[in-house]
Amino acid sequence: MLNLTELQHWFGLAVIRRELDPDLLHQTVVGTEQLSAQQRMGIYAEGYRLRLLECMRAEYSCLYALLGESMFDSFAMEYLAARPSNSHTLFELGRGFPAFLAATRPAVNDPAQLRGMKMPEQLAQLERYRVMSIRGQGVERALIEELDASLLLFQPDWVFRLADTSFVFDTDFDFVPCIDALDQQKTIPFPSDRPQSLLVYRYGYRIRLQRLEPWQAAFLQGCDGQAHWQQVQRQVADKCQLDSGELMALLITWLPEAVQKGIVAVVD
Amino acid sequence: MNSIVSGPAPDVALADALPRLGFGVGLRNCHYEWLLKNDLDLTHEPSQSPQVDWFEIISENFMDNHGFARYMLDRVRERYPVVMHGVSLSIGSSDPLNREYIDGLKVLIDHVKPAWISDHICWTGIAGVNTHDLLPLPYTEASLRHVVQRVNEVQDILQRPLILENPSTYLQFKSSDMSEWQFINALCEETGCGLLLDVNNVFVSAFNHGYDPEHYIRSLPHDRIVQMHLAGPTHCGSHMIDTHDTEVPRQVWKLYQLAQSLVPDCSTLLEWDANIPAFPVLVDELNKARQALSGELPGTDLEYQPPASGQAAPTVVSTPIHHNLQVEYAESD
Repeated sequence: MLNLTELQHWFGLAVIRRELDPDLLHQTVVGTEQLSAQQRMGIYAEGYRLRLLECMRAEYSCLYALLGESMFDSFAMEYLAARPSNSHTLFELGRGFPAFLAATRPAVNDPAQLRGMKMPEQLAQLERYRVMSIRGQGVERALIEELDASLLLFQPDWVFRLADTSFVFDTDFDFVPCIDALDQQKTIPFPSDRPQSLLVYRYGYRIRLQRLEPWQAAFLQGCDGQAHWQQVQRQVADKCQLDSGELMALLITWLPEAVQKGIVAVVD
Repeated sequence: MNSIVSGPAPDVALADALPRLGFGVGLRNCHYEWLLKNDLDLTHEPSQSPQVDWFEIISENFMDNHGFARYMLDRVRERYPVVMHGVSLSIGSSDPLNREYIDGLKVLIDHVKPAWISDHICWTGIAGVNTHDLLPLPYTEASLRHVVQRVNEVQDILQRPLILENPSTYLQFKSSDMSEWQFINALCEETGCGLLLDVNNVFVSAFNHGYDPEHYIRSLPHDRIVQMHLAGPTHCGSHMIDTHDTEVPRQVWKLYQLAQSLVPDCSTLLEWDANIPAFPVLVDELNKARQALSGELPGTDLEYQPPASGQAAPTVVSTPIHHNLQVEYAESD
């Protein structure tokens, strides 16, 4: 007879890895005419697979719809086999899926083909950011100071940081119509090639997705909670080859709105 | 803080030391909008609201979650008692207790101030891997010693009694040398923990293993039962699965009547976790518990419905699916 530790390791292998020694099964589990020992163990093994698959489909629902059940499930099962859950929360289950897709992407030489093959990992990253945005602290319960252009101009040393519900990332695809269709429960179009920067943020507990101008993306990526905002502004002007005064005008108009919407916050 | 912590069960019934909450339901995100417009709307006439006395939350859905779900929890707490029900304590696992999880639970307890906290008599993972399922224990003296020691440890950390639920099971181990109810009696006696009697789980496990569910319920330590769960399972012909996706069947209502006759006024919670109906429908189902206590026997008998000829049997997955990640409140600009 197995002791408790041995039994749980054996059971875990049978459920998670589907490694089952039939002799040990019959020595360990009661089988009846109603249901054999193998069928009984199968309920747990199949339940494990389907339950986690269902969670992955829910978290990456846009990618699931685009790839179709067969292809998505194949990726998800490979991921779950490589990285079984080690957290008490299912929120962590899909954390590594975008990186897993990137790491297991087949090597190709053709640049156009390579770009196309990056679509799943990039869409997965976007969906992961949306889920992270749901659970973050956000700013809904914070007192948000009202900013205006003149106040900003007199505060060159102010420091901004991205809210923990805001995520900026660069992608080769136009995912906005896909996410729109997903949220409206419509047929999801295949994303077109269109390199862009996207912002996921939360406002009034609703998750938003917005295309960014290059200067907006560069500025938000520079809001590290340490650099003065006018320092960041100068770096962005250089990076985006914009006239510094022109960028300043754009920022003092846009930044108050970004604060009000909870995209960035002023660091005390 | 409760005065009852680890050690042998005191003479006083645990249910007498904890509030009797009445009839409650699980707080699920698909009901948030309805609740905001009805039960949680302070301008709403109370008489127009369906009667729910309390809510149960899945602890893991709110740990480290500071978004809309936490806002809703805080709104619900303003008006209703809340109980925390966990699925990841893994009290029966041979792995060391997960202190990170228990610390997170403690943070949530301090925030929610629940009437009590509960989890399951099971294990959920081994070697650091979480299956996110409620796995069965062998009911042996060695298992009992292991679980008693861990329940005592958790109760000492949390400074409150744990309330543990009997699980639905699909297999039994040949090494078991006591029944589930004997194991539960000894566990409650030695640790002072409470029992969450899931009546539906008794129905499911009794069918799957061929024992008498009434004998099971009569054999429990009734003075340790502080809560009952009700739910609807799925009949698969050769076995039943605890799916929480349908109405409570008549057989479960009958067992509930028996359980309530043995533990009068025990707090009752309806679970519905898949194919979740609109809130008023959920409350209609909950109200059948009140009906059952008045002597009526609600519901219909659960019987096996074979798939139509030529069709495959549908896929059936047991709960819990404590997954709260859907972007329910998302909309793009």
